[in-house]
Amino acid sequence: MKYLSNHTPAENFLVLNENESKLKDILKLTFADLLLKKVLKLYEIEVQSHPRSPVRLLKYVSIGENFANYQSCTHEEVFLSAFRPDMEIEIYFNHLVKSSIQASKSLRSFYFSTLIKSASIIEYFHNDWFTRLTRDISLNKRGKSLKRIIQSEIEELEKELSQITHDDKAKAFDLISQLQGNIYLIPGFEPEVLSNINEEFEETETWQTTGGFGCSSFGDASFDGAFDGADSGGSSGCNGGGCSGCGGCGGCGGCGS
Amino acid sequence: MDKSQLWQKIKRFEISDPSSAFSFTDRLARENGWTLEYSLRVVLEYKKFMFLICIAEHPCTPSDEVDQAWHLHLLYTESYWDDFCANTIERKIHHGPTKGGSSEKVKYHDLYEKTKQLYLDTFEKQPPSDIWPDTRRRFGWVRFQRVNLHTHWVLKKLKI
Repeated sequence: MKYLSNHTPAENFLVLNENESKLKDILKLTFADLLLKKVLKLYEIEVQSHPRSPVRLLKYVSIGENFANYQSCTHEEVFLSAFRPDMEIEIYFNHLVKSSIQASKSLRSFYFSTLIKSASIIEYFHNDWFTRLTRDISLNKRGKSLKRIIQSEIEELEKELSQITHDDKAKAFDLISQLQGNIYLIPGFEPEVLSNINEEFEETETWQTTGGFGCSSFGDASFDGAFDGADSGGSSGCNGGGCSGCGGCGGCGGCGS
Repeated sequence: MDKSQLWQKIKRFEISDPSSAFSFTDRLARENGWTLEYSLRVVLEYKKFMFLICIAEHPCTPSDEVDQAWHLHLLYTESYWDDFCANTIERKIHHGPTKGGSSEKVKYHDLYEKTKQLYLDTFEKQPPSDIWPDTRRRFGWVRFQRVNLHTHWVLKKLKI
């Protein structure tokens, strides 16, 4: 287990899968690892925007108890940087996933701009001008040797975990706390935290692929052209009039009433 | 509702519709050429600004970035008027653009300064300068125009 726990799950995953790695898997493992280390916290909040709307359970992310003292790796920053300017921020989980996908761009872009710069894995990958030109993610001789060691460590752990979870839960917890997010690399081990975040990573796309153009208008039956009460009034989309534009203004003001 | 409860309600208010693939924050990012991360931060600052309006004894003026979030929220009329104003903060907050002229300029400069001071007094930290720039930049470096990126290229000036 020595080599496995020397690297983050994302780094180990890259060593194990090289060119076949998938960006969303790397992001998912990184996020799950940050949850396990209590750097970030994932929780659900009941949201009801209006009495007529259904109550929804939405997942949010905020900083965890270890955020302030955590020495992060560069590739973890796609999840952490949004929390640094204001640690009070709570981010809707889906938005954080989208933001991490947008910031990392693609597997190869993320690898060459961020992952390969990590001191702990740079020595295991080809990293010359030709590799950069061909955008190849492949291990050198040392890396191949590391890959074999990690594979055998995972096999041993798989056996060990299947035996101890039934007999000795304390030992299993001890093992998990040493491995941190690397536990997710063990085949067949899918704890709740991973299944909780799986869907969001698999199905989320950024606005570059989902964004559209267009507006619609709809109105309440009671619309009488004036907003005269909190629960009355009409709704109109872009096709409606009455908008108070402020293009080219040097300032806007707001006051409550 | 005391100030702390009000702030918690505003902070927890979700502008983005969870069932939308293309949410409020996505649109805010796309229309302004921002990253999603920056947009998420602007939305938090917009919520702080709305809280300041609720507690201030004077009108408040946002930064241009916060104003963009406000403009966009106003387009989601149901979310803005029904869910946010009526149901969350229980008051109407109107948006008033400048009427132009030198007296308005002085007024908005002054209100912007006051708003930033109220931010500092309320949240006990300086507003982030990349979202709340100084007054000179706020009012001097703003000259926007809608551009169709399908028909135009946009090049950044070498020196500003």
